[in-house]
Amino acid sequence: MDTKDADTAGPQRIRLSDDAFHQLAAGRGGPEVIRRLQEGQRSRRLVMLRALLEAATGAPAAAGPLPAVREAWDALEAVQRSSPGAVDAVLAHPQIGSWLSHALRRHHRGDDTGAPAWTDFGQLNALVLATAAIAGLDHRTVVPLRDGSVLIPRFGMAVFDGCERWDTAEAWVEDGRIRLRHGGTTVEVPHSGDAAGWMALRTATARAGDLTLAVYVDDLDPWRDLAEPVRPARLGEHEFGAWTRLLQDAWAILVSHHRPVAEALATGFTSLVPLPAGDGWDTRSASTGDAFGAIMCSPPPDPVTLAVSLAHEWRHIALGGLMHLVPLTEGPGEPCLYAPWRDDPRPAGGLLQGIYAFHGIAAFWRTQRLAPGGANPQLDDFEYAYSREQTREAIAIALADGNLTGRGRDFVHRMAATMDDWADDDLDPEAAELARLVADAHRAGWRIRHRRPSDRTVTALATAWQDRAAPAVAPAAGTVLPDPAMRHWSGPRLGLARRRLVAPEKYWQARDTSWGADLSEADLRLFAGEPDEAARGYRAELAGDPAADDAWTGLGLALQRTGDTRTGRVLLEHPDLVAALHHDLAGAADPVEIAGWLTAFREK
Amino acid sequence: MTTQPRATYIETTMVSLAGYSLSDLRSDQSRELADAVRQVLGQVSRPRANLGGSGPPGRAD
Repeated sequence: MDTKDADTAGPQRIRLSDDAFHQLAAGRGGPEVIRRLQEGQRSRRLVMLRALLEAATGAPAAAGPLPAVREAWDALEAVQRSSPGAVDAVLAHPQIGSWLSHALRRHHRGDDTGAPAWTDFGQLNALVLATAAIAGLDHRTVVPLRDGSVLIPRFGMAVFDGCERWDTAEAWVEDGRIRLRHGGTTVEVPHSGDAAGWMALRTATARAGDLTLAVYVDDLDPWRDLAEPVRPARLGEHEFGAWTRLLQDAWAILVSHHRPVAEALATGFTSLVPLPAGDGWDTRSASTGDAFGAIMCSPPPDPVTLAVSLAHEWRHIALGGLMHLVPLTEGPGEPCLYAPWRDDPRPAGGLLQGIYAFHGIAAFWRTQRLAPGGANPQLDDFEYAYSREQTREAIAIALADGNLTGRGRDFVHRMAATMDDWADDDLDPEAAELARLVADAHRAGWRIRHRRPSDRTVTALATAWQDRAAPAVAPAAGTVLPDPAMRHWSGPRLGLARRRLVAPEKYWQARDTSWGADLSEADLRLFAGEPDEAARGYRAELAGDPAADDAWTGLGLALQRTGDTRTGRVLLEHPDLVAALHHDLAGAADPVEIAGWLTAFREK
Repeated sequence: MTTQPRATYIETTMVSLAGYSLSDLRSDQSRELADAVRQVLGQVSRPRANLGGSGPPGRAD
């Protein structure tokens, strides 16, 4: 094979059909489209391998006590000549992407804290071992140990006692069997299952109709998480069994009611990473652009929650794969945008990922709420109405401020077009109203916490108020400040809305729960459909604590629903300004009077 | 006779290494591959994590 030098034309760019792009934008993208994304990932992983080789070439520390990276590369080439599929299979494993990304990032940042560089680069030896085993070839190498363990991709983890924190083990494949040795201990990897010193990477298979889902259940890989390598968190047989049952039941739901999602997952979802359980009923899920095909999830309370979590994370994975090929935003952007599902300001890139994911969530609930046998149709309507509203609002924000490229705008427009007839859907009235209430509360809560009105505006308005003149300065949107602390504040009101639908008999005890402890009596009145009482309650709260953010927004929500919509609207659109003006007037003015006074300018 | 419209394509920012062997990959000194390495290094320096949850919003994307 001729050497491709700088004067020789290099690889061509990947071409993605417009049709594939349009399908993805519309939230579709079946197996053929997913395979295009997977091909893109393969090329990307190869580029990362090349980057790893280049990095190791100039860095003696990359090898340490291990064979040089170029020797591993030689061996990998030999495996590929014999069995190209073996190399592709391991390269496609999701956590290989995470490992490569982590290793390259550490190297190029000059990060010499923690694990020595050779533990990062040396994982290539474990990769080669795995490919040799799959190819049925004999091979011998040395692999790095982290706290006595090494992950062999697609196979499992060997664990040795009595190791240094960063250590090594001999590893070889012979007669189709993988063996590893450290000191006087040899681990023999069985064809299946666990053994002494060995934890197998388990799989789960779910079948429904004509579709089969087969995933690794990865509780081992150090690079299965989002940031730094983590220790294994082995699921007991009972926990593993629970996951397989949940997966089977979720799969049945997806195949029965969300066929396109199921077809995409069947092609692209290859690794489930169990996360520790969260507090209460919160199910956490996650994914990363580097691990295409892997979804992290904490134990959900029921199969429907798992199904919607998979649908949600799949959207992130698909968009991440697309954005590796086609830039949809211009730069990361400043964290200053309102994302309805986030309590903190978001940058443009994060907003687009959220929009696509919540479009998927809304689409899920739009269909799921009509599935027969639902446990709580009213709650399903709420979830649909809320996620639909969140998505629609965020689309408008992205098109206005989202740093979208031309392709990005096209993507968002096509996604929006799929929602054109969603407004005609019949919804349970109480569920729809609660969704509106929560959405309005979240928007206003975000504004009062993250926007700062200009001092000049506040001063001018305060002067006009004191002069008993009309407001001469327009209430304008303030400056958005980033929130590095990522404060989490919106949970209680959302929880209250859900409790109203899920357990109305326990509604008035919501403040006794851990999630509802910060709710006020006025909140309970408001969400119970008692706006007059709620308004009185919020005014009393502000009299005692003018800095109570939720009392300001609650007052706006309540007034809107008592019929004083103009005053309520000012409070909801400019809660930061009204609160700042109230503060500037030393609390001497009534909050409702201030907001009412500001409506005079809006009506001009 | 019915003619099918010609498919149109996006030329993406990622190179295609379909058909490339590891030996090709190691020996390639082309500008295109070098640019691809730089592009990917830029991406890995800004890793993207997506967090979701069925509970209250706040961290989900």
